[in-house]
Amino acid sequence: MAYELNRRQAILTSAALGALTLPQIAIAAGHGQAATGVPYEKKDQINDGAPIKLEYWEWSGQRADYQRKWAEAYMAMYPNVEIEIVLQPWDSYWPSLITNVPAGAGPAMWHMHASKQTEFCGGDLMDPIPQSAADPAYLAENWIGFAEGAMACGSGSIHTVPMGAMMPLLFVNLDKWEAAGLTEADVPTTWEELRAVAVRLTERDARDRITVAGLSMDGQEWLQNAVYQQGRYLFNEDGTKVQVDNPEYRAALKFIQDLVHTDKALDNEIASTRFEALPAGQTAMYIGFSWIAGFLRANAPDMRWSAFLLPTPDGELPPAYGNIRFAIEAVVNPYADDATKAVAWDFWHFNYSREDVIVEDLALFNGFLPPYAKVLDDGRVTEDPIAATMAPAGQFGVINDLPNVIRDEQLELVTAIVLGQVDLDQLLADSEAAQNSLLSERDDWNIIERNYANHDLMIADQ
Amino acid sequence: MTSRTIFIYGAPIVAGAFFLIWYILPIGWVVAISFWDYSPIGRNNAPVGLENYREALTQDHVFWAATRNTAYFTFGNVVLGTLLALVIANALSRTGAFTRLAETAYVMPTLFSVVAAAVVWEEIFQPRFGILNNGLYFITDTLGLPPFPEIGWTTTTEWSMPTVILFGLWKFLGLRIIILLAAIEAVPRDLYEAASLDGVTRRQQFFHITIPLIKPALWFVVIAGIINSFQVFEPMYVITDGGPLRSSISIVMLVAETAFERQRFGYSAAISVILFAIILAFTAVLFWLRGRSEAK
Repeated sequence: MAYELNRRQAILTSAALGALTLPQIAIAAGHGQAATGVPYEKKDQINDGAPIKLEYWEWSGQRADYQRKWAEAYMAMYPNVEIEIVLQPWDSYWPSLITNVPAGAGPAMWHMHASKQTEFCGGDLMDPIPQSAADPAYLAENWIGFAEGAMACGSGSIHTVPMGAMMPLLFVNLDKWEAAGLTEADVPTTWEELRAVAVRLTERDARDRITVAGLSMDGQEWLQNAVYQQGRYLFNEDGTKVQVDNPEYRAALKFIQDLVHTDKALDNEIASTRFEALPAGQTAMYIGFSWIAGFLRANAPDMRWSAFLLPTPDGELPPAYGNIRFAIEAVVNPYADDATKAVAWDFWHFNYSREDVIVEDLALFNGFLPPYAKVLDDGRVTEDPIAATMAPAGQFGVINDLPNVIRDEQLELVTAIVLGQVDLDQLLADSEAAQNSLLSERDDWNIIERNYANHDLMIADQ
Repeated sequence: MTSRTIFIYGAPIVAGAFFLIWYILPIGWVVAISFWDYSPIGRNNAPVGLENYREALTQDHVFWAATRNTAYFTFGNVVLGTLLALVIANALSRTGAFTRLAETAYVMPTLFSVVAAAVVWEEIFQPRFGILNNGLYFITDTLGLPPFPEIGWTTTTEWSMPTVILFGLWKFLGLRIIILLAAIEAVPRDLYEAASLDGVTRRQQFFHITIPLIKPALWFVVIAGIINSFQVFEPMYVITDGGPLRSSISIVMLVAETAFERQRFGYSAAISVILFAIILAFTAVLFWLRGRSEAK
């Protein structure tokens, strides 16, 4: 069955993802140092040769390693510049930025997170990309996320580029898979098959206590993807209310309820997002976004694992496969002094104009699909197993990044199910009211799920 | 003007300025923004009168859950902690050679950072793989007893608060023991000797000599414990993240979450002011009780 892509500008992502299985994709002109649409050229000197120091904040030690290499390469070109990559723990990262940046302090640059974009847009806490660093039209035409509305603030200003696109996958510990006598033919494609496999993979001790859970997951992500898979959006048409109290949400929660309380095959700590349980051998399968591939490559090099597409209710990708998210890159402090901002933007330009950086560091290292169309037929991308796994589902991915407060409430729903809440009707009604109350605290959320390329396949009139 | 004169006039000014800048102004600022819909990164900051207070007190069920949890923690931490510290301090005062060793052992947890200790305990409490449950399994399996049920220390609403209190007892007990032990050791020995000669039992000595004479230290332990417990944040934040289902969220956690997750600094400030009022009220009552007790 062929599905037509029906919104030209809204489907760049899908087309880009599809390109991984197609021979070619139309790409804009450019070369290895012009990925932002403005070629980066080395200057004779920067900041008039005067010494200048920049701080660049990051919360992931994994990424900080390659960011230090970027800084070293840049400092080798401009010895008067010192760039320090500063690791800050996630929990204090955002409070520090929110309080320091408006006060005129804080780092010159920091790695941004898509879930915080609305608040940072609302507070003007990110400097807009200058024309000298990137061409907005070129970004919209050649990078994913811009045309879909995922990258812009409400005012239309853009502040950074995406790291890449990530989709949910089913990660499997192959040793446990084979030990249970499972083969490639057993890879689940439907929810029911997933249940059956999870039961087979669950290990118990002599007293019937679970020693290895068959399945674990980020419960919030499961909920979001499972609802999309049934053709239901999470929000109403204008993005002002959530859609929770409905049969699709109920079915998604019922699946978890059955796995925990009937099959007893699900790690009952799914609410705490224990993806470390997979490399630790505490769960045989894990459902999570593709960034987990990067985590496993970096932290569990000896583990034998594989990733598969997420099972769907009936084994078919339409009406939707799940959520596509764009992790995003570094932004510049708008309150930094002019000299600092100039150097920061030059460093930014130097990094994101390089195709090697986009392919190897931003995307594949982190388990993402590259965000830049020109590199999608690069051999490193086409041969990457994670990228190849995600490719068929690309056109059925719903682009949206949920507000943090909604994610938290979804997790509460899953937690309630795990803890034995059985009255799903009451639970869904209460959660819908709570989510709507939180959503009403702002009116500038960037809810873009209805830009889904295959919108026509979703439930009508919802 | 001599340097002595400069010091006499300058010292109060420096101290006053310090007090003004670091105490009065921040508190004043928090009280002021509690009447605003305010965020440092907001565009629509506007005065809302008492609305933030009304919302917290009449509408926000999470605020009341946080208040209950904080009161629960305070009760457990202060009552159990003080009683336990009193019993241990009294026992240590009689053990002689082992006193210093035991003191060191009890004080050790106090020296660790709360966050570092909580991270370790989070792993200990982990229901499936933590050493606490597995230790209990080992004991029951070894003794051939019925299987010990898996306790969801951090993952069930029934156990999340007791778990945090248990951690609080371990973490904060040492300091209380040190204070009470010092007070007990300061009680003149001849009072006990005289009481013994009169046939007073050790139990009677404890209630009629020790307790009355260490009352100031006991009051200090209780009042400081209440003030600190009402401000509890790290143990819940690290061990249970306030969950599951908000069953262990504290007021200070809610303050942080409201400000930094929801960018509602005005509302967060209102909750802070309410917390301040609660602590102030408790402290005032305790000081009044202490005054009455000393007057007797």
